Amino acid sequence: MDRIGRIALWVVAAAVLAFLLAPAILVLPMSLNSSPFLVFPPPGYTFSWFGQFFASPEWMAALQRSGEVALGVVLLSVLLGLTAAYALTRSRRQRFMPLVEPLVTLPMIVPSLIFAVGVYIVAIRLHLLGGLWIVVLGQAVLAIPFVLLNLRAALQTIDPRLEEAAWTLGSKRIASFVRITLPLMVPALIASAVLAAVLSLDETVFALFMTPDTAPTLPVLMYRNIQYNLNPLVPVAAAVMVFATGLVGGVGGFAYWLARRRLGSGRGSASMLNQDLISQSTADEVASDGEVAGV
Amino acid sequence: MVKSQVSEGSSRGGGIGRVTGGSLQLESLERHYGSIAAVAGVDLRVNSGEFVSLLGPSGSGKTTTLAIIAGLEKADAGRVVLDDVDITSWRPHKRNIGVVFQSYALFPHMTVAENLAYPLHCRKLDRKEIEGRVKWALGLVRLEGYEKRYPRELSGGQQQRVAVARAVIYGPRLLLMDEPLSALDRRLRDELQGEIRELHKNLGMTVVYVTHDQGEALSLSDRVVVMRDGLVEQVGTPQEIYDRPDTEFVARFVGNSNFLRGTLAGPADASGVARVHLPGGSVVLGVSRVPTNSGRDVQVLVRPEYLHVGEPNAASVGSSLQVRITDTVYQGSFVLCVGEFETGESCRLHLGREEAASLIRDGRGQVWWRPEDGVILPVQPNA
Repeated sequence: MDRIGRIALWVVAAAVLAFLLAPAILVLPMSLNSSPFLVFPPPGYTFSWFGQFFASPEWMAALQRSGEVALGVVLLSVLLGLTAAYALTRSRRQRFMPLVEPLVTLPMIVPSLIFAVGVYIVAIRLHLLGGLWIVVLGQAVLAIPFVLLNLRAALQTIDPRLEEAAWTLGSKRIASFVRITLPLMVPALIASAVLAAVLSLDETVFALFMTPDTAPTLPVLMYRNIQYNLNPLVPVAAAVMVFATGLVGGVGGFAYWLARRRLGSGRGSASMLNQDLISQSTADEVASDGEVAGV
Repeated sequence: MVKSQVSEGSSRGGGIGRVTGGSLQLESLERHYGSIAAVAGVDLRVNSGEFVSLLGPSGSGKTTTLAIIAGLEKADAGRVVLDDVDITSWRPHKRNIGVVFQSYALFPHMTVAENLAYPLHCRKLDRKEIEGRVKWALGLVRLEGYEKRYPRELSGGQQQRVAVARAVIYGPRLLLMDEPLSALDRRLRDELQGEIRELHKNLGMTVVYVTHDQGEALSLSDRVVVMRDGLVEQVGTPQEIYDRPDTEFVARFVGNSNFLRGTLAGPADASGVARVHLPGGSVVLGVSRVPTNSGRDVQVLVRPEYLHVGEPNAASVGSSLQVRITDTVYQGSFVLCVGEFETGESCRLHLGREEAASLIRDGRGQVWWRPEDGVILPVQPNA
């Protein structure tokens, strides 16, 4: 009975995992497809599409644009998210805070299509279209709720008395924040940056509306190619995106792990995705390997 | 001021040595949260080198008062004067006041040495000076060899010591401590109490210490400030607070007490002793703390250890009562007898084993106290 239950659990877990990962993995053989048409399974394998992709100025420019936009989104959303999170957790003027939080996290709930259409209409009126910076702005708005929630969770685990102690010891407010609270938030900052970058890299809806026709980001260019002429470079672009996202996540994850190890204590280090669920287990883990980390 | 203190310290090989603590004056301090007054007008003078405790239940405003002195809370009214300088509106980092927090507030990402060096970096001391001072401070709290440890690798008592060392390492004019021992177990608490006393004696620092533990306040302080509802209820030496409480609140908050209601029989004599008629017809004696205008309804307070069994000695005639004992609890150093007086009011006695024997055997007997051990207080309808 117990055994059957366990097997069933494994089967379900494996099915869910397959469902989540299969599409991402599937693009890899497709990108090496020797046929110029998207047939599955591929009749043979070749790297020539990859060669074409990396030689194409159009695709390369889109890839670079996506990178630039992602960088802008990371900087903007982390900076704004950090200040908002600090105000929400530490401000003494809490009167308007109950209003601020839902407002700032609203983009998480509003369908991005509606958000994009709304911004589009306003942007046309004000003649703001035509630059990548508006894509950065819009995607940052979409990323801020996630960044904010993550950073706020981290701040809530950091004792506000630490900063107050720093004041009494003789350092000014900003210096105290930079030297005490900020270092304790490094893991959460890394996690937030990764979230924002990944969000931006594959954000399509808003970018579709806002990117100039002549300067699409990678997902937008992919979409256009799918729409008009499904060519074999699309799976290559998809593979590159999977790889880029994985790289960001991997590097970020490693940096996060390093930062947590360095900090040792569980304080202020929100877990990568869900602080509340994981914080307890990480606290235990830290307690057990605290000595190793400290040496 | 800060600078001279620092350079003075450096000439003594790293430490700050013995300093002359600052003097603190609080004038009509107030702090309101909405319609609630956390601090409702506190006046207090703390002399240079004095150890003063703010004692009171939670919500009495003691921690808020401390936070206002440190600059972590804003005063709505009143002044904070340190060494004759009005610092009421100063930012905390300018005040040169050391604070030991209840949670210690050690920086978790810094080693012990880095924690200790933090205030010295803020004061831009040079490297050698910092090293010397850190060494001195570690010696002060007996934590030599712990420089490289992180706070999480220390026990609660060790963390507490680091917090104290960090708060005194820069030679502050004043040291504030907010229930620094409340997170520790009893044994460690007693040990660290001794260390805090010694530190205070050796450094000559002015200390304001917040606690809700009356034993801690009595054993550590030069003077105790009993607070209640944001106001100072009584200020005095530990002995004054214990033996001569001004109000029933103080008597009940500090130590255990027996209370007997009665009517004042007349004005006090030259030594302050007055007679009180009890409902049953008995007359007892005590030192009157009753203001002249407060009427004749009074209560007599007697501490459990000031009650004796048997016939009163000559000087104490007239202060004896019959008691009935309902329970006896062996407490190690004394025997606690619980019961009631002839007036029906409950009674507690702390007795030596031999003294308690006859009471325990008979279940009843006569107790008495010296007139100077009784305290006559006005009746407080709200206490």
